[in-house]
Amino acid sequence: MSEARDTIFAAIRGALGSLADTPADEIRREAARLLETPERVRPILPEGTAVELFVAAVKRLPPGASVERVLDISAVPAAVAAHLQRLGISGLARIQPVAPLAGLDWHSAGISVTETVDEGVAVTFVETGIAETASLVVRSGPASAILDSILPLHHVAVLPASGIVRHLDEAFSPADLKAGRNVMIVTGPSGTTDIEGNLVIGVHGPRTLHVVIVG
Amino acid sequence: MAQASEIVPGFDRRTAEALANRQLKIAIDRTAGTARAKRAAIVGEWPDFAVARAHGKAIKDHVVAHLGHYLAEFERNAVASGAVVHFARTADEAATIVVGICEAAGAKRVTRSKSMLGEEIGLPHALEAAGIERTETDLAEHIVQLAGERPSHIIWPAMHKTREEIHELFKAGHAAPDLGETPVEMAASARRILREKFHAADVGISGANFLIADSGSVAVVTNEGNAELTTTLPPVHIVTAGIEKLVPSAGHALQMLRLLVRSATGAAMTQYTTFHTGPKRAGDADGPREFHIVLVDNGRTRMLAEEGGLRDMLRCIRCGACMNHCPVFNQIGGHAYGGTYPGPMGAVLTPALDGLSMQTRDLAHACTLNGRCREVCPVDIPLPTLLRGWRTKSWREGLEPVTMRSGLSLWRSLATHPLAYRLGVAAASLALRLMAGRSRRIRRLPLVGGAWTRHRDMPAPSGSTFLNSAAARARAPGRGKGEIR
Ligand code: SF4
Repeated sequence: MSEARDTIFAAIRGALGSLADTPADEIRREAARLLETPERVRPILPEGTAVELFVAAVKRLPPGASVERVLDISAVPAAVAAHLQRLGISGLARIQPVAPLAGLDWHSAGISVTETVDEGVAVTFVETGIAETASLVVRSGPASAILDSILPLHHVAVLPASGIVRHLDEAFSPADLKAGRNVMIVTGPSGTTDIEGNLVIGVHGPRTLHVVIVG
Repeated sequence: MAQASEIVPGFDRRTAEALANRQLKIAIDRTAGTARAKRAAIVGEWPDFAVARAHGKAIKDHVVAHLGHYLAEFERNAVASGAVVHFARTADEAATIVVGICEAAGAKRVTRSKSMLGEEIGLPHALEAAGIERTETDLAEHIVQLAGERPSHIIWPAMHKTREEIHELFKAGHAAPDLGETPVEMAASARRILREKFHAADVGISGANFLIADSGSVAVVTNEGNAELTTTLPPVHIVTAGIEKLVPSAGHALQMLRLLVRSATGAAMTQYTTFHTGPKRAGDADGPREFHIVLVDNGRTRMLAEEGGLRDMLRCIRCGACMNHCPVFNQIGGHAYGGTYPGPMGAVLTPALDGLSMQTRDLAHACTLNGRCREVCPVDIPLPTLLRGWRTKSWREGLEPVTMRSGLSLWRSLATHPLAYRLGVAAASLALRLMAGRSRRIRRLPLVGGAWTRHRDMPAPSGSTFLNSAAARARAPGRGKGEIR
């Protein structure tokens, strides 16, 4: 297929004429200039701390998204148990095997840990949140499966308050992208408007997404 | 296989059928109406949306001006991350590459998440021809697949279907005769059926919203989460993407994303925005072991060569706003356009991809030049100008029908002979008034005029001609203040 590759590059060169000779440095400078004044091209956020803005933004999401704040990570299992009770479902949950969650006392809070995630409940740990859009930044890795955020019917994400940034464009860097297979920005539960424009929540991914902010 | 061959039944006939279909009008109004209202609301909340829009245009213009640079940079970084990068000059070449990867993986079943490029290169057909079971996983694409149809909108492929029609399709297609009629029950049924397909797939195929040059990543956005299930569960993930999807970095992509989401659905953010960089890493909990990216030209470098013309169309981020706001699209729906891409952007793109022909020339005429599409386009593509460009080209290449050509030359010879023109216009005006009668509306014009009144009536002309009124005004005192009547 390298013949196709050569043809395409030659066609681009032919189409662009002398532009195709622009030095790479100059192109990079121009690209950087296009990101120089992010404040001019960001939606305006209301007053408040990043955490306050994040909480307010979750409340603007479609139904199925909710948020609460606890002061210490040790309070997370009880918060998760209370959330599942409000949903009217049993205390069976997959706990993502990551350090901040694995050491917690789930048993005493009445949560039975399971490996099954399909159509069940998953509790995951997320390092970064975005106040502008009420989003979570999920990164794939040995302990954090992407599917933990997609396969369950109910998803609970634990997010440290210190990890909340204000704007979408502050959430990760090119180095973050190269560091793993996936960076996934999750914003509320899954939804569709494919039937006559009606919003339906929980079409392929989770029907509810609860964020527990810690700290 | 390109879709060109499917354009054959005439545009006239498709339009007539669409206009006669009341269900279709109801279905379009429900979804497009909501989309317009939501977009207006969220854009209204952002006072500097116009600044962001100009910035988005500048980003895309920058990429297009340096497309070779970014394509090479993307390829280098993608390969370094472990992706296999393929290049395809044409639709057929792209479809052949994808089928080849599936066959090499011994795939029997593939899942697809919505990709208009996949439609453009004829992938559904190519997979079927190769005997590979294909499951469309986006809810709307699932509806379209069950109906044996093609998408009618780039964001809402099933926009042409009412809930009643979808209900009938699901009862049969899901073997669920007792299925309830609410959108919630129908979506839950699709979830059950498709969840099994996700788990059983050997290959997952997605499109791309952005190709990030400085990291070699592919960004895909969805609201349903079907793309993540498609691209994570099977052992092989194939991306097909047009080369115009390049952006310099994730920062540029996120800026474009703000414009894309607001313009497409009127939300502030898509539910799932996923960047894929290479295949599963050693020790990762999930992800595919093979990651292929097929980069497709299929007419894009030809568009690139038309500076000040079709090159502008390479900015398009496929948001669908132009069709939601197009009065013609809202009357006839997407299928009448006959190509992969409908609406104003489709009327510009289809002749560029499939070639200008007797079949595709009509699309540029399905436009009232009202300019709404350009106003709502998040990257300010001069769609009306580009459509006029196709009209001119069609004229020059002699593709206009004889009636149109002879009508216009008759007009030209009259216009260059003032006395004949005046007499002709006065006579025509009188004839039209007589034809209209008391209602002052003409329901059917004779001869070639019948084409105009087939789908609309025409007001009768007023008593005086423009030239007479102008002459009278020139004679009257205080001229210039009155209206021409
Ligand atoms: S032409 Fe503009 S409005 Fe239409 S789909 Fe493309 S980007 Fe959106």
